[in-house]
Amino acid sequence: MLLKEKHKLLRLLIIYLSISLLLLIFRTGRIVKVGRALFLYLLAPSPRIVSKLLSETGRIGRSISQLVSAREENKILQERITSLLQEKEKLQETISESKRLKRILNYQEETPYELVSARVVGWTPSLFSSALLIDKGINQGFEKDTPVVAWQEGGNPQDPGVAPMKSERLNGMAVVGRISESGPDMSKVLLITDSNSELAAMVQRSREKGVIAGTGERSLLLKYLSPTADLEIGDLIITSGMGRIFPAGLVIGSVEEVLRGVGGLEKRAWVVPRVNINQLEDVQIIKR
Amino acid sequence: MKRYIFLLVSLLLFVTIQIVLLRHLAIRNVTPDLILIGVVYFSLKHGPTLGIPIGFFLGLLQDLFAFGLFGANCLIKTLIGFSVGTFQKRLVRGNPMSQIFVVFFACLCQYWSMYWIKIFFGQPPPQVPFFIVIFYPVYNSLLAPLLFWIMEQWEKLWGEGIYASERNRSAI
Repeated sequence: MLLKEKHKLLRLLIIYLSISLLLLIFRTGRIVKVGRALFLYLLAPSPRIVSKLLSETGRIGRSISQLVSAREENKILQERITSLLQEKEKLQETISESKRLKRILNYQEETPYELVSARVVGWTPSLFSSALLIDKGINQGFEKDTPVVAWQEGGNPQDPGVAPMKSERLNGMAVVGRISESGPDMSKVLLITDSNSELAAMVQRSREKGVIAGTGERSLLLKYLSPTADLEIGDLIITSGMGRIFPAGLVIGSVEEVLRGVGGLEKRAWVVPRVNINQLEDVQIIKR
Repeated sequence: MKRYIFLLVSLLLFVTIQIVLLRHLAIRNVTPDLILIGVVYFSLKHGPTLGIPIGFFLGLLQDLFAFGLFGANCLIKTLIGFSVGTFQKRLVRGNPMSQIFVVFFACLCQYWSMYWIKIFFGQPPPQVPFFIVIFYPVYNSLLAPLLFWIMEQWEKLWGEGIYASERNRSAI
């Protein structure tokens, strides 16, 4: 490489590194915040485009699998089967969606909170954070620290061993996370499974209080329980309302394993979240 | 002009695919990191002159949609773009083994750089389980040859002419 080229490259590197460092140093500054909000607004994939893209991907995926399985069938039968299958799929989807919406509606009538539905439009692109992007934001009146819940049916599919036995108990509304940043028509939801997430919780049966923390993996860690805390496998963990973000009584998950804390000074437990985050399509935001 | 449109479309496409679709390919919460693989691809194929800005802008887009330290991904990906681009000539670009090797180390570099940047800026270090620290580079490096091939086809779609001006300048 020529010396001139080397200098040019070094200049380029220094310029970009300097901008990166300035962004890092002044990340909480007003100019950077306004710039971030503006770019997020401009670049955020519109919920409609995302939904269309998702349904299109699903359609392509289904078409490919149908093509593979029906390779040896003749053309007329294949067309008939495909159209019938698609119709059946649509019907099944409509039936399950209407059932789910009916249950949410019933729940909404019983619950003291006002719930607003939002569509999941994406997941944050980072190994170091678990967060969702939803299609509601400041324009709809949702700001930082607004609680987000979701309806879960038939137990947690992440844990097939638990699901059949306790599916009844695992049905219902459950905590998903809280809004950590809001744009005009989009918000980032910090999930309870994120390692930066902590919320005040308690054991529903024994009313023992603790803190539930995300681990970045499937399970949550319930900590700071007293060493004599009454805790059993399968106990439901609910929000205690002490953090003032989540109202009391919302289900978080159920105890999977009870642990002794460091030095026996506290009791801990692994908790399986009720909600299966990977399969979330829509969530409910609790309006304050 | 066509070149800049291609780059802009590619950056937006990578980020959109990462946000919307790649979560469906997650194994134990580890998602394919198309953004990082994109930086490695452009740096490996076109050298540091393109690797640095691509790394910076992809990092910036990632920072916009992710949590944590704003600007950290910009910094890390700019450095990855520079490093991979600088070693570009020593590696056999088309060889899947070198693609796997480079992506594996880029993933490790990204993880540890983020770890130390967070500590330096007084943030709690990322609490990523050990399994994920190991599985993340393995999963991404195994996907690298396939994603490189797809990106190559995507680039070919735009025609060979998009880098003609650069080649002409080099020739002069």
